[in-house]
Amino acid sequence: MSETFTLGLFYTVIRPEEKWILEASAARGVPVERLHDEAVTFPLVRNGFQADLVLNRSVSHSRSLYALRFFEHYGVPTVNPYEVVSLCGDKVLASLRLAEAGIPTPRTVVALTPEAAMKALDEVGYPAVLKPPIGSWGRLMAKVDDPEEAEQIIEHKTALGSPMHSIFYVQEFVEKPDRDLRAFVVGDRIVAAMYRHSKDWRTNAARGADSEGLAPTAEMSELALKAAEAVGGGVLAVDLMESPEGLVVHEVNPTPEFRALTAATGVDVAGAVVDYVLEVAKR
Amino acid sequence: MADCPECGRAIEKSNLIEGEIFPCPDCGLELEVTAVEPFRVDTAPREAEDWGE
Repeated sequence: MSETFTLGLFYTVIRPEEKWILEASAARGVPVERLHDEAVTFPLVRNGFQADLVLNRSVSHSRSLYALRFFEHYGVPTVNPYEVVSLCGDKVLASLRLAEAGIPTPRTVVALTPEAAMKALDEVGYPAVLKPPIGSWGRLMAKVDDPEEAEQIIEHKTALGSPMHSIFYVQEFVEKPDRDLRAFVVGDRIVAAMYRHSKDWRTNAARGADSEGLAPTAEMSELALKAAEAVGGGVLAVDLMESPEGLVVHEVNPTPEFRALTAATGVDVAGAVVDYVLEVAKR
Repeated sequence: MADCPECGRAIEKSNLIEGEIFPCPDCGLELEVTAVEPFRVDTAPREAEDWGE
């Protein structure tokens, strides 16, 4: 890499993932400019930072979107690009894109009012899952067992006040083993994969799921890579479930954590991410 | 050396870097390194609704 190249790390906090990225960059002789999302300002004309490429590690979806759009405006490539993050960060848009690419996903119906949400739940059938269109770590997701419960949950969601809580993303409850599968895609390959085991129907590592490394089957690899490509590619964690009908993709995460994955597989995921960033920078 | 804002436990800088989050070894509160020279810690930012992967 040329000595003049500087990697921008756009971040909220330094978790193990970001620390490993800093270490992997240092090991490759890549200077890093830290861009704290709470401190950076974005004038319409670029000034004040050196980075030649920005790796987004902000945990805030809203901050990520505006920042990535600004970096793009300044002519600075980003990993992942604005388009990818805006798509994957919104479950409605992501589902549409995956469906357009012919990728199997859980049956999903979107409703724009509480009344329509009740109809959507009837269409999907009980039990069903209600998810906020934007959000992560399993936050504010609800498994709904019957119409009475649905009315209460919808009333609570509406009372939260934010317009996004009055957009209802309704999904079938997939009868799966007590686990889901995650493929960590970097560019055109899966660098590591794992099971996330949990007795809770939500298998987020952030909710305490146990991780176990896995060797992806051909079916899983093909689906995960296809899903990543469908949303625009980059550094993505593709989450899949084993439904009775076969594998379905239920989420593509655009700013994935990989602490649990690194521990479960021993793979140097941070190194793979930095190598990919350097590859993108050469393009 | 800095103190945990919750329980007062003395926190050593060791190899912590600015911005790093870590749990207080005594009370478990999530802390953030707000400066390294001089070394300061504060309560880590609270998770917002749009935070995630």
